[in-house]
Amino acid sequence: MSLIVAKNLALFYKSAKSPALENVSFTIEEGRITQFLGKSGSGKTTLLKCIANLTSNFTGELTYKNRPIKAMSARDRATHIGFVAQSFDLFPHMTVLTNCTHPQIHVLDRKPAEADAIALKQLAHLGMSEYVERFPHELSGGQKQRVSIARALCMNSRLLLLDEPTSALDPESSKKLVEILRVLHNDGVTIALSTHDMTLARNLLDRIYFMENGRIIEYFDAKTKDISETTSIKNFFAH
Amino acid sequence: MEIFEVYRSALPLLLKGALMTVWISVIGILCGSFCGGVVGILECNRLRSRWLSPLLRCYVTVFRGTPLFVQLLIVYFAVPDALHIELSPITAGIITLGLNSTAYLAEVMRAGINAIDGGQWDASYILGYSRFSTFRFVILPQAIRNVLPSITNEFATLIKESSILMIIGVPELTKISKDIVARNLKPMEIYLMAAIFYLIMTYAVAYCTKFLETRASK
Repeated sequence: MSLIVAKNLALFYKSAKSPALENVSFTIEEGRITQFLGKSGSGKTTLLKCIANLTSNFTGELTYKNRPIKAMSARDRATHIGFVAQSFDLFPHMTVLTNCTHPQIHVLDRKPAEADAIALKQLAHLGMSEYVERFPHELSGGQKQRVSIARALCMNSRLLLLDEPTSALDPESSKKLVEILRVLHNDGVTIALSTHDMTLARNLLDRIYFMENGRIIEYFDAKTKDISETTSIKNFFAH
Repeated sequence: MEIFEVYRSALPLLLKGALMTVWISVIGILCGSFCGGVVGILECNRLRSRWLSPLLRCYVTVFRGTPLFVQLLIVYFAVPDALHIELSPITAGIITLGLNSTAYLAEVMRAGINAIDGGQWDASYILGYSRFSTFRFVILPQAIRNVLPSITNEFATLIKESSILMIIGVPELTKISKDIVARNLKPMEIYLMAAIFYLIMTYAVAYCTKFLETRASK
């Protein structure tokens, strides 16, 4: 089943000469890992921001379970779509635990005890139990990212968007991230990520859209195709 | 022995003047912080309104670009004359200091909010926070931490600038000192003592700033 369906997405920034997105169509299938590959500036992050409705001035059709994303309420969207930004964007004045409980209490109206239990469970799942009382500035990049993932999962998000998840991580943390994403995938979380990290893309090989200059130029599905049958994606992995 | 006698008779009056200075400055900084906070919030990049912003910018520009002394004369003499009302010197003084510090603190607040990383707004939006909740729980706590030193600096500035209120007869420290000197003709002793009072007040504010900064950074 397709969670996200995009048809003919286009986005033009006034200041730019060429479109950020042009005639982009794709799907994000439930329970699968969908990767948007491409060089910097190819439109991967813009695409994820459209899905998260952080950028809403696009044209074309973009739906979550047949509902237009633009029409979803903030609370509704938050409980379905989680977004882990490149810079993780944890709230610096809150502890790890509060980062995970605060949105639950103030957006989903959960009781503090319930929010605590959910947050502690998610943090334990991602190996962050011993850091719950720390502040974001006391964590490493990989740890911040895990908290950011936990925070998204605490909101019941079954679709997790990750923007360039390894760009701020060392190789060891990147390896750990792959393990975590595999665990989440096995738990049934749908994952969509943008990356130009060849190792990450190879380790999470499932569905790939290859982007260039704001367009999707190639599609790959591990269930139906072999990498050798592709051109741009094959070249990307060859470099 | 004569000097002790000068101070013995002047100290209670100077203390009273110092208390008036503190009181006026505290009211001024409270008005400035609240109103400046509101103006700063309405002027920040994410909330700027096409209609309201020019008015707020105009207010900030006028009050930052003209001398406090002139503002005081307008508030105490010109406005009551135009509106046919009466203002006591203390009320006029507080209004002037409040309006002036509002303009300065609006700029401080605006800069403090704009300095917060855009990712914080995005993260709040994605997590489903309303605009009000984003402001209340995410942006303001960080912005206040950013601007706390500037607010306390403005308070220290206000304490010193409040001396200008003597011109309309507000019985604050400088006015009291001047009155005492007029009676005992001991300018060195009295003005030196007034300067020491100002120094103590501004030093106390600086100490509080340091304390608050240390607490906020924890």
